[in-house]
Amino acid sequence: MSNEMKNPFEEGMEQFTEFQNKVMQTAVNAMQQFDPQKFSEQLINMQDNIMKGMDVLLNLKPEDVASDTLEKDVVLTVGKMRLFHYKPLAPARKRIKTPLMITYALVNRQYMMDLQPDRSVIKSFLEAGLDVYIIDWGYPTAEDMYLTMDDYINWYMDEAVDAIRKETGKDAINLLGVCQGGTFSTIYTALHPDKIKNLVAMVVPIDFSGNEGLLFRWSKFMNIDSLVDAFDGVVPGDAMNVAYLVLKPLGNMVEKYVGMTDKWTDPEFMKNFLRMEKWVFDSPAQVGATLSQFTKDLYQGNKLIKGELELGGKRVDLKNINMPVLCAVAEKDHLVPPSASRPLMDAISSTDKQFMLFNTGHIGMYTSSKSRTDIIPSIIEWIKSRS
Amino acid sequence: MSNNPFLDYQQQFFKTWTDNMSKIPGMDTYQQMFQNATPNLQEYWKTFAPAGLTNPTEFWKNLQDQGAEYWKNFQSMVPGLENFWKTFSPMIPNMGDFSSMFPYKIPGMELYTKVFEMWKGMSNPVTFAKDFQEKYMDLMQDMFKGVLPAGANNVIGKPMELMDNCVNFYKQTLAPWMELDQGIMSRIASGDMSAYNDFFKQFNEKYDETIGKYLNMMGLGLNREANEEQMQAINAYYKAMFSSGELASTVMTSLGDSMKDLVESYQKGIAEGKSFSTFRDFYNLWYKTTEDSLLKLFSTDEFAKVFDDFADKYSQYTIAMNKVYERALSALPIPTNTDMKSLYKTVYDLRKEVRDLSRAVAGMTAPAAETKKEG
Repeated sequence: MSNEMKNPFEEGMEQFTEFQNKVMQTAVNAMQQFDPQKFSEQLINMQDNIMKGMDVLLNLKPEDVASDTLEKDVVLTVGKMRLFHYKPLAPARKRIKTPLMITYALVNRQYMMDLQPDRSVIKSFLEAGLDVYIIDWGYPTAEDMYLTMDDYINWYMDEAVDAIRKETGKDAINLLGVCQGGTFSTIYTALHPDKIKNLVAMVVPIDFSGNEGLLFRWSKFMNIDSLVDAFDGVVPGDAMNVAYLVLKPLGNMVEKYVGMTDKWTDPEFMKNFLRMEKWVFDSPAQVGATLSQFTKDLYQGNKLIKGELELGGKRVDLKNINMPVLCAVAEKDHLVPPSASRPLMDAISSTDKQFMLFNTGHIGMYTSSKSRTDIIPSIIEWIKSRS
Repeated sequence: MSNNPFLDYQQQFFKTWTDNMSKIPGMDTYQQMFQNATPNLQEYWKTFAPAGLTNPTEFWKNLQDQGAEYWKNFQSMVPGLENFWKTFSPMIPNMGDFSSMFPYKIPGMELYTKVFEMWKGMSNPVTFAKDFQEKYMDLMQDMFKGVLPAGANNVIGKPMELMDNCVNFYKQTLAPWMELDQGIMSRIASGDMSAYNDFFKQFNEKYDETIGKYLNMMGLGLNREANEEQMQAINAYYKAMFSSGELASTVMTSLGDSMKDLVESYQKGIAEGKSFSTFRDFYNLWYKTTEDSLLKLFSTDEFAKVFDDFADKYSQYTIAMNKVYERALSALPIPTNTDMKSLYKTVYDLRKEVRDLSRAVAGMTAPAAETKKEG
């Protein structure tokens, strides 16, 4: 029968049969390739591995996997936000006088910066002589539902900056913002340039027009107000976690654990795995008013880079940023692709500005071996040479 | 069974443990395949097995028997244990439920072992093709069930079931109100996956013109608002249910294609001289092919719209139901969400007022302090 004569049913059947044949061929190939000895060894190893891995888990205690262990004092509390000041680790003569304040994203906890004792970003900063403060946004509850971006930036952040300026007697401080905290820090710096000496923006979303990251694409069509209303003004952390898990569904929910069992007989590996596991799911609820504004004004309206964003009745003009700026991004970042950060360089009026691109992922900026050997030392060097 | 619950549980625990050990990914299949693939099975086993055991089945059976014997001996060794347990056990809820005694689970591992199931029976290429496809779709059907949080599982945990429920619900309840193309229904009946997408598209178009209009009608009389809210909640429920069905069908259609990709990738790998000789090789191929397929789907505006519509429709349903609940609760002497939101707003406004006043006071005292210092 010629092709012209075939009806859709016959064509479908032919395609189906062709596919069936391929599957059968696959079975034949699989049988030919099957190596019983290798296979049985793998199964025996797997059982052995499971027993040993369970043994490691049974013997680990919560204190073995503690994070956020560096000594620090609370120097300010505003609502649920706390400002911590870390105890210095460097001798007095090596300490940098200009203090550094770190602002983390609202969606995760700030102790990512001090997750593992052997790869703590904060510890590296302190050993290098930096005087480190960090904002802990806390866990918002229903009573915080009306807090806006203006409140977080012009109230909470501003009080933190003023508290540090007052305590250290410095007119301007160094500000380091991470991810969404980087966006907040950039906005803050544009609104209060006189209070910031140097700005470091890490994996920071500034230009939201692209679609490289799934969050950017999905947020474009999101009716965020109905989501916020459905959760009565405060979106639970787990709802955010589901969204993040689905960005790489099998990678985040299956392969991560399958891969874990390859190495889980190593107690040190499991300690770090469990630390990360706790951090990943330790997601505070999101204040509806801020989440709504961030989604509509930035993800959907892209107002920051366009110069149309307004906070507290003032337009946020990135040209007001005239101090030294470092923008550090991760090449393999699936949450904030480099293309979302790079436009910051052209939007500011600083003459001393640097864009650093590192071959790692979003979290790898803080926890990878490259972080310790390359990324953090580069940032420290940049800050020290300008403080 | 003894008359000692604690020891019974221990025996059960050990039995379940050894049963599970024998079911470790592919252990039974391994034995079956091993026998098919290895003519000198007995010789081979002797090389690997502990001394004195002639085959793998015997090994696991012996282990189980020895375990049961051990717990029997344990009972006689600790005579006071029985009374202790009788007193103690009622204080622990659900102790009879074995899974609650040993709830530790490694996320994703169930799915990992299910991937292996697809390759069962590959020693018979004639039946394998059909089995493979059924098992692949079965795997995909359950893919999100075990790994998503409980709340999300309830919504899209069983995508095929959800899609069929939507279609059945339409046929049994909504069909008299809105007529859809019979061709689509015939294609669904014949197992054409792509027909589901057409079904949901057409459903959305026709719903608002028919039953949606009725459910959004204005009410009359004293209970007008209450009636309207109830009707709107029903409307929101239909929309949410069908939106989740549309999301499920979008994902399942893509996963149906990924099965073909998997077979193609395997054949391509073989042609390129790659080796797939272990379970992990197969798993890696499945993981990569399926994840690539999902990410390709997720990176389209079409999916983003369906996904965001799903989130929106469920939000609208929750909001509508909350209104119904709140009205029902309004007669009781308890604060509702509306009352609490009003209170939170007052607290928020007061906090800002205090902040502004503090800043004003600080502004007034700072120059005064400087003047004093200078003076």
